[in-house]
Amino acid sequence: MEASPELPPELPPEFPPGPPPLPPAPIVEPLRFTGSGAEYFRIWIVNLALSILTLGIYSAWAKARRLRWFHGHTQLAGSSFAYHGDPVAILKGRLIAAALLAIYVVAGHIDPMYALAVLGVLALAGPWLIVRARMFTLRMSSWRGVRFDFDADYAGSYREIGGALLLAVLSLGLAFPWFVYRRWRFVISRSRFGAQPFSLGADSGPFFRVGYLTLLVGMLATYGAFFVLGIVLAGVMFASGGGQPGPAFQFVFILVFAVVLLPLQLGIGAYYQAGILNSVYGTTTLGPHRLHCRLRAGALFKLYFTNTLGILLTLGLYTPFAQLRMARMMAGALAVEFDGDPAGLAASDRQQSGALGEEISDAFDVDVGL
Amino acid sequence: MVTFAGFYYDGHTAAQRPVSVTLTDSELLEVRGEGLVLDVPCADAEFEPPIGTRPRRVGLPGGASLEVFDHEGFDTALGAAGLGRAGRTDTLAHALERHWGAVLVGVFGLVAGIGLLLYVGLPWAAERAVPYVPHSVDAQLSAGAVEFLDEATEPTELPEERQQALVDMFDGLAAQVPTGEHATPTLVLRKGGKAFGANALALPDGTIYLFDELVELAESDDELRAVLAHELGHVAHRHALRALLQDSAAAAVMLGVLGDVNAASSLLATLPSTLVQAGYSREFEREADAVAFRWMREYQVPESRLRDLLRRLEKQHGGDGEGGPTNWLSTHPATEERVPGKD
Repeated sequence: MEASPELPPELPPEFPPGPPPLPPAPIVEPLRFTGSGAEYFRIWIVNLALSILTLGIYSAWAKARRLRWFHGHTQLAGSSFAYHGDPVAILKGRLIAAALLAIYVVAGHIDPMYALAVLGVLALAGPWLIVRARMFTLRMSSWRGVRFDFDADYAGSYREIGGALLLAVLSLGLAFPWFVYRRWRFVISRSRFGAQPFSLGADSGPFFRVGYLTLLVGMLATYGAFFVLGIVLAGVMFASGGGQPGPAFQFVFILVFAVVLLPLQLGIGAYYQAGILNSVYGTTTLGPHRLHCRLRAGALFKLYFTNTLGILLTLGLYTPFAQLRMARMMAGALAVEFDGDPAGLAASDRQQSGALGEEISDAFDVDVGL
Repeated sequence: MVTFAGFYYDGHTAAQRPVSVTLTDSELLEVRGEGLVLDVPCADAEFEPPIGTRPRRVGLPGGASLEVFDHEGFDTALGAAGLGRAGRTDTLAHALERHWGAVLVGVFGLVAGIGLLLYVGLPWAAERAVPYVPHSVDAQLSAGAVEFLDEATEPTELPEERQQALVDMFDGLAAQVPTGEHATPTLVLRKGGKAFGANALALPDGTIYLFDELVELAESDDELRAVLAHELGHVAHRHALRALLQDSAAAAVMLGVLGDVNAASSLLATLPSTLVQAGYSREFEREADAVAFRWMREYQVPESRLRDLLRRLEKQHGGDGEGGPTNWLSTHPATEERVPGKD
């Protein structure tokens, strides 16, 4: 410092000159995905080949490898994520899920009522399953050495999710956006990074808006497509003089049908998904920090469409690239705004006391699409 | 002694501290950073196995960890110290992933393997499993089908004596074509109507549906007996049950292979399944045809009987018997393929 500035004569000397210093501005750190398609294709192929060779047993190790790789290539503020899932726990969960599936299929063939009963039991167990699935996924993930966490609030799950689902069913679907909202709110608010809980800022408004708009546009577009295709079919049948259309024509018709309905379905799905995820992740906070999410429905639709086309044309070999592009898009849309140093985020007591080990030993991964 | 750069995390807070790590000759990890001096014996550290090019990790005692982006430095250090032990499965997988040759072999092997599984393995397994399925399952499957058929079709309009003659003819045929103890061959006459037209169906418990339209299309009893022998062939080989087992298993396999991708997969998983199921169906038709031909040879019924009827059926449906590009979607082989031969 060269020379202290001249103080105005009125101000006492203790006060520093000029306005008070601003607090440091929050830093927005985007998520980055650094994995390459060529590298992941090889991992995917070897995973698949070994899984088939071992009649599925290796699939648990394959899943652990895949998640470790995806986590490791996702970076936030210069640090990557880590996955700690134990393949044996994953295997246990998969065996249980496979047994349930077998029971469901066999029961269904003997009598459709049995299949319904199995579904009923699964539905009742839904809220419990949601808690266990989230618990395993989050507790097995970490960033900068601090594990994520999930509160084992089974009662809350039944109360908030089960209750909302009941309402949705009773209202014949009108209250379905409410159920979606309550589910997200439960999952977000019970999730933690270390000891710090996440919090969902949005209310149910965006869910209703996105839900109903999707439904409206979806219905209109689908009816429109059916209408147009119906006219075309009638026209062709009339022109060919009635009678059953030959198998070749039927095939072409089905193809055209699929070609029109597929982009429609993907487009509606993309709009809905982008809307919901933006509302959820875009309003999630972690203490003083907050998340940003800017998924664009148009870009998401293009991704869905090209992925589907790619997988179809390559008889499935494009699958790893599709997964990768999805991860890249999600990472590109997400960012974390840190208000202060993340070092202020502390690990949970469970992790600090080393009690995680015992829990992992009797955990099993619930590998259901929840 | 090799030094590499990394980040240190203490496992208590999300603080990131740049450090330099040295692996000494005495198997000691020296971690040095701003205000951080840590010596960890390698035996107490957990070196995570490499997967592709994701950052390397080392677990340290007390929940701390190291994250290393400097792959070369890390590998050199571990190599020099003779470390880098990883689980055997991870090493095998990593070695396979590194070599494109192995990967290409894997790709071809995968496609061939899945193809083999679907078209050879599953049918073989289904055939072996079927004898263990209790007869009650056949009865229940048939009961369900009968309910549906009764609603979808109307009572037969054939004259009484014709009906009786057909039943007698069928009973005689059933004595000549063995179907096994799970089935009781019974003939049911209905009018096919819009839903079925000229057709015949075989249910797992031995009930054979014969529709008026097919009876009228036939020009001799021999033709009808040939078709009914084909249907009894379905019953004898328990095709309905095998189809059920194979279809479910094939769907499960396709789901397993394609299952991990999100929105697209459910749509795509059904398409290959449909193709595979149509393939199974054509195989079953060939087997049933074989039973019919065996019976025709044994009881000296000329093969042309079946061919003529099938050709007439085909013409009624507007085809020419050759099959064409939609053959791989259809559930029956092309008529020319089923009964080859000149007129």
